[in-house]
Amino acid sequence: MKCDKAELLISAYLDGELTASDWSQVERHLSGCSRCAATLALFQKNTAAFKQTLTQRAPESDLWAGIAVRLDDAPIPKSGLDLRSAWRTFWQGFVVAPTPAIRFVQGGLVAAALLLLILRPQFQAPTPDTTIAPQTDLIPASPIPSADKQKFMQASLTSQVEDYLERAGMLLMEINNSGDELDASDVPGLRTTSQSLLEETIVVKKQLAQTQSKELSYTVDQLEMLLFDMANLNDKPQNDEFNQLRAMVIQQDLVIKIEIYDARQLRQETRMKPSEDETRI
Amino acid sequence: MQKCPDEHELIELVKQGNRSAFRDLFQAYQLPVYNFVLRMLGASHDAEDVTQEVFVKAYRKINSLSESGHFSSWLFRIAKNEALNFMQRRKPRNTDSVEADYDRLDRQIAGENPEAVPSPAKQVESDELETLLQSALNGLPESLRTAFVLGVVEGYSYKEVAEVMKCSVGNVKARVFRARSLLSQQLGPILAES
Repeated sequence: MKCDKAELLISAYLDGELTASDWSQVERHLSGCSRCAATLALFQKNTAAFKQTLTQRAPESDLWAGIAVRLDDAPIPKSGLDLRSAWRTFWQGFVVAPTPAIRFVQGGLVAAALLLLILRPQFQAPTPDTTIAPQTDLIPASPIPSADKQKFMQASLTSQVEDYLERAGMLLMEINNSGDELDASDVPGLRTTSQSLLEETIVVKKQLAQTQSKELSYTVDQLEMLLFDMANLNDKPQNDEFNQLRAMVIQQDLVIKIEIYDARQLRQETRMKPSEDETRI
Repeated sequence: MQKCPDEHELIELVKQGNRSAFRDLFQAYQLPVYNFVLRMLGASHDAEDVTQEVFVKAYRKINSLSESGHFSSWLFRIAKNEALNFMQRRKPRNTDSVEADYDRLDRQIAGENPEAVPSPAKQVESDELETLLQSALNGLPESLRTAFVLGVVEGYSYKEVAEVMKCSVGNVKARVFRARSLLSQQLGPILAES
């Protein structure tokens, strides 16, 4: 085992999270490599410092009292379906072990939805129109709370955020459409795109924070984790690992697209609807 | 993540609106959630507010939990998201932040507030170390901090952390490693001196 691989495993070795085979390889490597042994010693020292110093604490105040008051205002949970979770469950059920035929239909539907999103602006009338055309109901009703929508309407999105979301959607689409076995030649491209989006994420999150849209910010948080995973793909990823990641992408893919769809729709509405100032002029 | 006994029954009761059952769940998970949030945010007052928010949200959303066996990872996912939301909302200079802790510590060391010093020099040293470690944690990117706090400080398995973070075990491994490397770069020489 070489140092670069051993270094990666030393941390998991310390946490007792290695397989027996990796464990014995790391042990063997450590006995003959002073540099990695020093890394282990440093990790051990730091871990011990964190575990001994950041010990379990109890809250200083009675948290239940504050929670109980707020539960009085909270609606008693109903057994009705939560729209978002219902949609997730539906989609998850749809993609679990799909047959090639289902996969084909699924890919087609997603492609059609995405194509519509991309091409829609080109079909808009060149001059602003105060009437809002009814939208094709390809995607279920918006899960974004109306109060949040209002904030969106007022703030709208910067072109950088829009562009970022669109490129992220395209990347997810690409992953979604890859087969069960990822072609190693696709990895560098996926990794580069993910890395570049990942680098933009901080700026996008700052801009989203100004819109105060919790929902879209949450989506970008989820997206960030996926991008992190994708940017760290091995050259020859294990197929089961990639499939696990891909399943996760598929589960979140449409949820993210719904957010993008909503964001674009709201932006479009904002553009089409003249502001009060414009009306006065 | 340790389950509390009769958790499944308690969740079913909460779904029917039983507050007493929810209180039992709260009692079982209050400390782990609070400590996780505390290490993510660094300030106890903020951690108390966010922990309350986590449980209120969990109560309101309990019907979206399809499998009660996954309650703990679901709850920690809410905690992680609430902590991240809080961090994004928080102004860069929060009065109850690590900087405030430093100020408090400086005052304690200088003896300006003798009542606040709970014990002799050793306690001050321990407080100083805690402030230092928490400050280093705060400097980590969010995803690395979450993986490190859950997997190392709180001692959950990588599989459990992966469930909370919705990523693969391999990626938890990579994140914990990256967190350790960054922390060691920052703390290595300081800890060696101490």
